[in-house]
Amino acid sequence: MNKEEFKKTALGGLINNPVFVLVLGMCPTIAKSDNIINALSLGLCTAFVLIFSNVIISLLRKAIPDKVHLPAYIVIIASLVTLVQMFVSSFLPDLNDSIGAFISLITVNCIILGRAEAFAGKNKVLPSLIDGVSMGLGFIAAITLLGAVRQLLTIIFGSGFFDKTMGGFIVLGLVMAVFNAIFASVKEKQRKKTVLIEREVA
Amino acid sequence: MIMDYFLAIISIVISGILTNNVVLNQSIGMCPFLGVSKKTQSAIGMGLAVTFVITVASCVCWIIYTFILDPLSIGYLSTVAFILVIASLVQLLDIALKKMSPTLYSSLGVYLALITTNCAVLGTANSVISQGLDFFQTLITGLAIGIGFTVALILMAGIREKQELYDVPKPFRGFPIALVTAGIMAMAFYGFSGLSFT
Amino acid sequence: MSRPVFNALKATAVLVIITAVCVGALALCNMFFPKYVPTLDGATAKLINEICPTGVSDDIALSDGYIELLGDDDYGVKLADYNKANKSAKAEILAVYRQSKGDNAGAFIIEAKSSGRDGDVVVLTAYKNENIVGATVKKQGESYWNKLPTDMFESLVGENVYSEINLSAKFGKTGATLSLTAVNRAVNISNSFAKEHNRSIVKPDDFTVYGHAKESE
Repeated sequence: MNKEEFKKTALGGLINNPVFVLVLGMCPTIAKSDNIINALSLGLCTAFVLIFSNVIISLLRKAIPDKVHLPAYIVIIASLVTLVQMFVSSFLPDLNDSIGAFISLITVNCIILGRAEAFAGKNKVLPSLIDGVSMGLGFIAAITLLGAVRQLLTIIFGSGFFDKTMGGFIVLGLVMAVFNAIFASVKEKQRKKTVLIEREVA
Repeated sequence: MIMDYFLAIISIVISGILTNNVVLNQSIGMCPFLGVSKKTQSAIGMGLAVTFVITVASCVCWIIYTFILDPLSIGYLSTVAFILVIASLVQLLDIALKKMSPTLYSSLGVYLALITTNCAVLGTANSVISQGLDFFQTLITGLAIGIGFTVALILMAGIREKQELYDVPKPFRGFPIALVTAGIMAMAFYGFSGLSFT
Repeated sequence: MSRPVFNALKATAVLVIITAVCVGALALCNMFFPKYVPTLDGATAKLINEICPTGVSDDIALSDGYIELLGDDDYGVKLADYNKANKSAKAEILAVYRQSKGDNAGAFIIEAKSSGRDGDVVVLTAYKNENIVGATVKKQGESYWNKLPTDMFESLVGENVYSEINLSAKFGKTGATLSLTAVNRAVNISNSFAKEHNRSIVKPDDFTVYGHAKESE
């Protein structure tokens, strides 16, 4: 694949951030971003499933008839999630205590099925791998950022608000608004630059 | 004995709707919540569809776990089995609604298929198993959680309908303001957590 | 056969194959993920020392043989056979430890496991003669473990091997029913084993009724 395509796919996680832009995978993002450890762990588990599901689905994309593509994707994703569940409950029992229930919910994380439908099912293996890594990193960054902010706020203001669901909603809304504001101003700057360049050329 | 059981059922209902509301307390099942909740009409339809799926899916998954997976010690296949049950159920609902209620079908649009990926459905199925509830309790839990979801959805739709008329600052438009609103609603529901029979 | 029927069959076949491969892979993983093997390591010695104190530090208890791991010959029955015969208990005995010296000489600790919600729950139950003197959890990977009552194990102290332990009746709805049931089953099978074999584990010749080791040991 050429350099342009590579850049576009690799930066997908940032420009089309699954949490802040595509608004997918909300459930774990609000529920388990109450502290950094939970957020990072759940992010890593999700990214693992995302990357492998993208690769496997891309490998099999020609073999799966269109009629059954959805259940086939679901079976593959659910199996990968079960693998992660087994691993975590065998080797990381303490983690299992805190995020165990949400690992199984990775199966229905819209990001994974969404990327499988939109990308892995239609592209070759290497681009799918890059997309998986990029989106995975984007998700990890987003949920960890929220985890850090909420943990900081909990330390400052004490527990009982920011570590609960209501705090989660509000923090996510505010961070999303900030993200939008930053990207809007970046887009605005780029637009102004192009206008200036066009004026000079003219 | 009967009284205990009866109180347990009441407790399930109250927790499903108020104290442990899927969206506002457990913070699961919100993707459709944030997307569909702009009109009260479609909110009710969505709520009904989701309640149906959660209830039937929880019951079927309970049966499969109790009579097939557990006796054979293959509990680890529950994630795969449950999600296949849910996907099939939504597919059946799709076919049924197309025939029986085309208006509801078209108002739901793509969100009908998205019920498959609604965390509330899989989450409830899992939680019912881990709590070791019996069949009747599973049925009631499914209904209660579905009603709780519908309540949250309708409240949200009502607020967002009004918000369309106000001038929201640019970065907040769309999802951010919806999230903050949901957060404030969650605060209100947090107040309910004092209600408990057990 | 006609084209549409062929296509439908092919689609179903692909789906079935994919599902079969995935399920097979998972079954394989289930076999290979570390099946827990009981060892008398530092962590275990620490837990045993907590529920049934030897009177010395954990390290010394371990290194100086205050706590020992027994083998099938010591209690006169093969654990594998016992577990097979008691399949209906839905729990298994993993190991038996014995304290031959120290404050609680003559006590023995049974390690049993039972299937919880997310895997096995491993419980240590300490006995002196026919009474439970302590219990604790050695290993668990349950998602809802923190919903269990904190005094669950303390409530077992004072029960004896003839009691039918019923923690669910005692603690009611916890939100972690499967985990509680696993603990229950583990303790009950420990009780059955203790009832049948305590005379072999702690031979009356070596220890007096109150479990003081013979001076020559």
